[in-house]
Amino acid sequence: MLEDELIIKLLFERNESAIEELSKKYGKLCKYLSYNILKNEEDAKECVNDTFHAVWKTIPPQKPEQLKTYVCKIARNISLKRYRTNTAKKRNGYYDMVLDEVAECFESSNTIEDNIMAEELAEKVNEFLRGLKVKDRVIFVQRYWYCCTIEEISDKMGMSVNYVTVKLYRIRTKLKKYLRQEGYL
Amino acid sequence: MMSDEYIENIIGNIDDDFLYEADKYMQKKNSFVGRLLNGGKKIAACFFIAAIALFASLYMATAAGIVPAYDILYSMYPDLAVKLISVNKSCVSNGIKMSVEGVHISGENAYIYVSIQDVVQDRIDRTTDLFDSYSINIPVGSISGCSMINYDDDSKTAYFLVEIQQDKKIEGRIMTFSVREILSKKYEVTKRIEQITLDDVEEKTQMTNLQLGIDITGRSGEDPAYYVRGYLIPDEEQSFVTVEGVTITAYGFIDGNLHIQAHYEDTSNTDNHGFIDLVDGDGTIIHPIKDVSFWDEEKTGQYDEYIFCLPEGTDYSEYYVQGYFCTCKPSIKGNWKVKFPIMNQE
Repeated sequence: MLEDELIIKLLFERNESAIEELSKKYGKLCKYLSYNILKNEEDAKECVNDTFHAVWKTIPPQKPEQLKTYVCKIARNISLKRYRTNTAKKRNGYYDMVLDEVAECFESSNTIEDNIMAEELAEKVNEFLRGLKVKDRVIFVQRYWYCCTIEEISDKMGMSVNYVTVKLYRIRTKLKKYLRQEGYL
Repeated sequence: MMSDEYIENIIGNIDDDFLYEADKYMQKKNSFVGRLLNGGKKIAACFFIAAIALFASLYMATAAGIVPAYDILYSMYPDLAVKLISVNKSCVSNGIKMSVEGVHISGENAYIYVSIQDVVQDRIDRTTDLFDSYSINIPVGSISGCSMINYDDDSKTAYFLVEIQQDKKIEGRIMTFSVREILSKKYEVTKRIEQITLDDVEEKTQMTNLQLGIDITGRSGEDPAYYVRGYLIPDEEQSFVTVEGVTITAYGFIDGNLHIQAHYEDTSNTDNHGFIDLVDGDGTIIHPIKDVSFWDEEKTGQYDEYIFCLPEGTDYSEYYVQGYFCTCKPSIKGNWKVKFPIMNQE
């Protein structure tokens, strides 16, 4: 498999073999990420194809430092858009359940959306994550960004399901307390 | 209530470095060494068989107190053992002695060979683990794995190999290895839960039997998003202890689905956990469609409610309830800390 720098070089040269190389290197990961959100093989495959198409269109002029993260973010955004179209505001899918779980960290009696941009709150969340131990941060990101199931996380981390669920609960509680102390809730 | 798009925007802006770190962490955990040192879940079959054979022969030798710590490691990881620099420094806390037997530092990897011995009681055994409470004093992020290498019944000593990987070369001259908690005396069992006779289970659809506002800590199962109207209220008349630390607190049908509720005591200090399945007449295991965890009133233990969705008209007399439970005594807390000189051998 090619190094990321060479794949980016191929993209800049508009060499179509870049798509094949992207697919070989990141196809499986993108499919995994997309499937976690959509829970549908065909939709996930289509989103993966759309992802590489989007990468082709945006590099250049973009020149990401971490190609893997760049590709994953595009895959996630495309999958979320597809998810919204599929569920057409009908909640109760797996992804909505994961979103509900993390939403409790931002619950407030105020309608903070009116006052605070999501990006500003995101920066606070990043500050909070920076202060966590690596393992805790990894569990949080795996659950709420990569949308892994509790079982997948416990299996990959070598921890019990119980430990992971309690750990996630504690991190969410800490985050809520942190945002409250910072005056955001 | 916040819109989904708003929350997605927040989560979607998690720092790229954290996304990269999480992915890299998982890659390293999935490596052969990571699997090996991660409780042995996915040890290659040939190594596992060899390890069993070695363990059996070692057991006889260590029973006589003959084989020192180094030889134990050498028999399992000879390449590592010959590179180990002897440390032999220890500390005692809460009647338990922790010794750092040796260390090997190479590049970004550190291998720390540790023994844990109970010097006053009988609290350490083959099931002992460090409950993920170990750490070393390095300022940068790292990933780690810990695996028990051997347990000596006579001296009541457990030997662990801890592997730590960080993102850059390990530097410095002193390392501090510390442990805060130890779990031990674990008990695992898979058993038929005879007290629940499935064709005799009552209907609990009425609102007086349900609770709605529970403090959910997690959801799993085949379809964690499966809609349920409510959860069972613990029923004293139905309650029974299935294994020490685990109580079945209620069971019944809600809207055609079978709910079975279990309470796991003191989960923060014991890591008590388990799961419940149904088994049909052919021995096929049926997993719950949904498994919801929620705090008890004191927030010290957890309830798990297992929800099974079987076709209408199912003959439940053909089925039985099976539980897998893993429990242990409350963790042993202490302040074990050993400081020792290091040298990067790369």
